[in-house]
Amino acid sequence: MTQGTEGTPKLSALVVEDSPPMRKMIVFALSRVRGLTVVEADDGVDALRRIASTKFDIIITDINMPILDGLKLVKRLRADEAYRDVPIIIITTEGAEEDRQRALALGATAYITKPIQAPQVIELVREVLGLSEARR
Amino acid sequence: MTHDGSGPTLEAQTQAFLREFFAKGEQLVRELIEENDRLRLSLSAGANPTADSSRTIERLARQIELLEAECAELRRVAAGVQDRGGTFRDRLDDLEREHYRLAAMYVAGSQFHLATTIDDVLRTLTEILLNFVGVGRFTVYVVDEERQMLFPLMREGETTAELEELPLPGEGPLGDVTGLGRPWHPGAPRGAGPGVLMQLPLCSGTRLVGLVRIERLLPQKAELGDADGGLLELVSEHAGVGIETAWIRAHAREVPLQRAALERLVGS
Repeated sequence: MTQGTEGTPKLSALVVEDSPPMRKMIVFALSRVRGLTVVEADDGVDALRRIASTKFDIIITDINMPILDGLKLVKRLRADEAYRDVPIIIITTEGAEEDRQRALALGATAYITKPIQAPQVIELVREVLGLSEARR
Repeated sequence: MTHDGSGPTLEAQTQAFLREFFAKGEQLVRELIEENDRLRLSLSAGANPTADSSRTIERLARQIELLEAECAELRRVAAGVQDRGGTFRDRLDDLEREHYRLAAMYVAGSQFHLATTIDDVLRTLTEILLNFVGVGRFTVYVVDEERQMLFPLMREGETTAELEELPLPGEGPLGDVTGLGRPWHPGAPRGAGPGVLMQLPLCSGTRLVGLVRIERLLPQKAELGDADGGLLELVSEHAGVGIETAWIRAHAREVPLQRAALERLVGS
């Protein structure tokens, strides 16, 4: 985390989601969090490519994705020294309890369930990043 | 929150009130201590409390009453501040919800316009219904215009093998929605029936292209509310256009863009 002007922390988030509408809506929701820059990735492989060049403060990832899914991505990230403690939020569907448990066991920090609502995403990201109410 | 400059803000008024209240309280405490010291001294000197003391005590009692009244006023002002704060928070939440709803509609609309194949349209339709509206199970029917039938083209999570075709224009709830003659809009018939929460016509203008039968919502979604109306209306209009466009595109011959030909089309 770096410090921006007027003491606002500059944070960066990576949104990993293969569904363009979902990805756009999550990015839109996160644009409401002041000081947060959001980068998009189409899938797990694209995410790893972006992670190689940028250190993100939080990762939000879908589970069901082609090529490299969210579970494998969480595993890869937790094996990386630089991402051992970075918060990871997974996006799951209602019936995917098993996936959810596996992701949490692999080291995911929290989860949100589809259909997602912007206030829910914003609240969770703020909570996970430890951003206070006053920064809204 | 901005202030219109017509007077002190509510926050400034509250601060001023509090400052005055605590200054008076401080003054009262100081006077009480002085009076207490004075009484203690006169008692230790063997004197009886004088008429002056009684008057002082009466004055202090009046001051206490005044402070209690101001305290009650302060509580009233504080409650007002809380109410106004709550109102602003509610309005902010409403605006956030509206902002999100409009963004969802923008994203959904742009995705339908980007769809170039029937598969693209179905994928977008699925993502919108599943992830934005919260529909758990639905079937997409498309019109076979020659036979005047709606045939099942896709069912979310299941096959369409056992589903029957629906004759057009249909009767009852089905007839209500196919007879709309335009995309669905909030307030129009939903076409609900046994096992069907809603039948959403997919139109291209006045042409009925297909229909989405919404059979079940996701467990966390209690009902289709007013907030879903805008998205469903958008799906009704844009998915219909998307299917028609993809159908035409699938049968269109590759034609290079040409200035002269395009100019002839302008204003034609």
